[in-house]
Amino acid sequence: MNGKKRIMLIDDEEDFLRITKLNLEKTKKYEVFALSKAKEALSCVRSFRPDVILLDMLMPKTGGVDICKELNRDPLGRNIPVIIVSALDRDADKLRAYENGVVDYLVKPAELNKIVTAIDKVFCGQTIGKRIKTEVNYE
Amino acid sequence: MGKNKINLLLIEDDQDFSSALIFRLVKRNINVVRVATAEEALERVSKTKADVVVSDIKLPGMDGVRFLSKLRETTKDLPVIFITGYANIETAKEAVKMNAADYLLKPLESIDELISSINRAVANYNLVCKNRELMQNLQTKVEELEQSERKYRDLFELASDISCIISENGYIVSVNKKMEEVSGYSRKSLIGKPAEKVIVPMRNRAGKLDFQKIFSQGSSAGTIEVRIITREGRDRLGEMGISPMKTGGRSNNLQCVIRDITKRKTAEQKLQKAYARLKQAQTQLIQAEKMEAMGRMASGIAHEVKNPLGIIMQGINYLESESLLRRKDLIEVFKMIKNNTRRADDIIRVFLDFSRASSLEIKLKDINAVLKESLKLVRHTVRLEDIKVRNNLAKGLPKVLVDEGKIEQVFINIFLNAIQSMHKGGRLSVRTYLVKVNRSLKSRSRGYFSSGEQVVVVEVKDTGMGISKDDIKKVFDPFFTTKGPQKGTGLGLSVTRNIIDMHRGMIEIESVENKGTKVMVMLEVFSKKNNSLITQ
Repeated sequence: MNGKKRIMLIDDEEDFLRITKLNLEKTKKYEVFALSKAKEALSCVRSFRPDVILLDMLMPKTGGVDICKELNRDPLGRNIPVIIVSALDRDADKLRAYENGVVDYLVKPAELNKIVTAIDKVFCGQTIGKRIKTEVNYE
Repeated sequence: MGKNKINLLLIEDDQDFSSALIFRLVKRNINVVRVATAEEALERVSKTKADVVVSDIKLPGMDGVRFLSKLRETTKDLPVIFITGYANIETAKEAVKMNAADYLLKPLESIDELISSINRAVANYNLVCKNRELMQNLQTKVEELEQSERKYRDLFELASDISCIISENGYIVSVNKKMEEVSGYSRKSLIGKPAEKVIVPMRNRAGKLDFQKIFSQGSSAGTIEVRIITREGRDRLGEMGISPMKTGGRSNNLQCVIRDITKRKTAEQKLQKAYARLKQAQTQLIQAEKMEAMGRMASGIAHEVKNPLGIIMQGINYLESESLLRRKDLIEVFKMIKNNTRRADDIIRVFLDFSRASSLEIKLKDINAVLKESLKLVRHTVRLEDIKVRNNLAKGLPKVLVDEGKIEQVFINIFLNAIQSMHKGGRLSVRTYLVKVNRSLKSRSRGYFSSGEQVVVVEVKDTGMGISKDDIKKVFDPFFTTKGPQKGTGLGLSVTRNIIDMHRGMIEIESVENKGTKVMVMLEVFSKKNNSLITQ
């Protein structure tokens, strides 16, 4: 272990993945795994075992909320804090995300310091939402 | 008789006398038909168009006097001149009684005596005939006139429209039954009354009907819409046709026919109101559909634009941290890019707000409480900008139907505009009160408010720099701003008005440059009429 927190970044925007990965790694606090294919999320979670997941909401086929639901069903996944970083700014989307166990919701364009603060809050236990251990049937 | 020949019927049994007489009469241009007996004469009289009869008195069979008596049974005026050689007082008296034209004695002194008697008798007969003809004509005319007057009287009296006759100086001369029915006044009380007390033109309520002018024009004045002021004081509406009545070429009265159009007008007004409501509903529906479409589009655009903005922001963050680029000018450039990325993001967010105003979560709220909450949210800025806030919120205001979040957004927007216009220091006055909708307010409210209903007014006044006359016309236009590109998106008041519109309310702005601005938000008080907002 290098003492760095493991951050998993899931977004279908390749450029966003690359630049955010670069930024987070530059802080030297995090080890970042970037994933653009949402359907591979759960298998990658099992292999990478992140401390925090940064997740986009709107992705083709499998959306952010779908991944949250999958994580909630998974014994390993359900304990990993999820922070949403999405372009969706509607209250209904935020509510849906929180109901499915995300700990924070950031709206793009979010500055790096905001993302870092949100990640650090998770480790300090100051997050807004909390992980829901049981499965949430939103729909 | 003039140039026409006289037709003469001669009754004479003496052959010699009659031959001599005929000879002379024909010479004097007189047509003669001779008969020997009175019986024959009675037969011929109707066949020959005799102008005069010359008869002997003593005749075989019926004598002359009896002939005349018999003749008068059928022909009253045909002149009969008697010529007799056996004159006596009795026959003369009898002849005069029977209206004989003359009585001459045989032998005649000269033929001229007879001729002048014939001429007199015929001239007189012609005059009598002419006179009778004239009398008959007159009688026919009188009868026709009487009939026409009866018809007119019936028409006037039984007409389904109001009929009245008004004198030159504007007094009622005559009215029909319908006028009594509609006005509630008796005929007796209407006659002699000034017409303007009962009939008032619609277009000019204060004006009078200028009867003198109508007389001077001497022709029909067209149709005028009038009010008939009834005895009970309830107006009836009428359509009046008015025309001078000419007698001997001069107008001395006006004939007015008024059709009661109260029902039609009321129906028209109802129809107009219904049409206006339908139009309003249609407009709202179209607006709602537009907003919904715009909302969907805005949401899509927002997502598509926010993603690249996110990448730009992360890119700047990356470059900022590069030690190589810690040059002052580059730092300045990065700051500019970041600010403008935020600005683009702000525009998208407001654009989303704008489109989201199409759906409201309406609840019954105390507007003063919403205002106080909104003021709390700007208190930091108020303190920072050294603004004094003065509240004058009316107690016991009735509740209004609002989406609390959206209305807070409206008030915060108005407060922030006010604060920004004051540039360090100033006074922000917030006042609430209740007003009754009058005609002017109703017309400005795009049909949302009805006359007489109550409206809650929120008045926000500042002592800022005000808005110029040119700018005030554009303040509600999307993307119009006076704050400069870094400070305002130009969508704030546009969103505000949209929200107020969705609440079927009204927003008005008054401003004096360098003195300040007053913003008034008017919202309907909750009633059965507007509770339909809840379901929106």
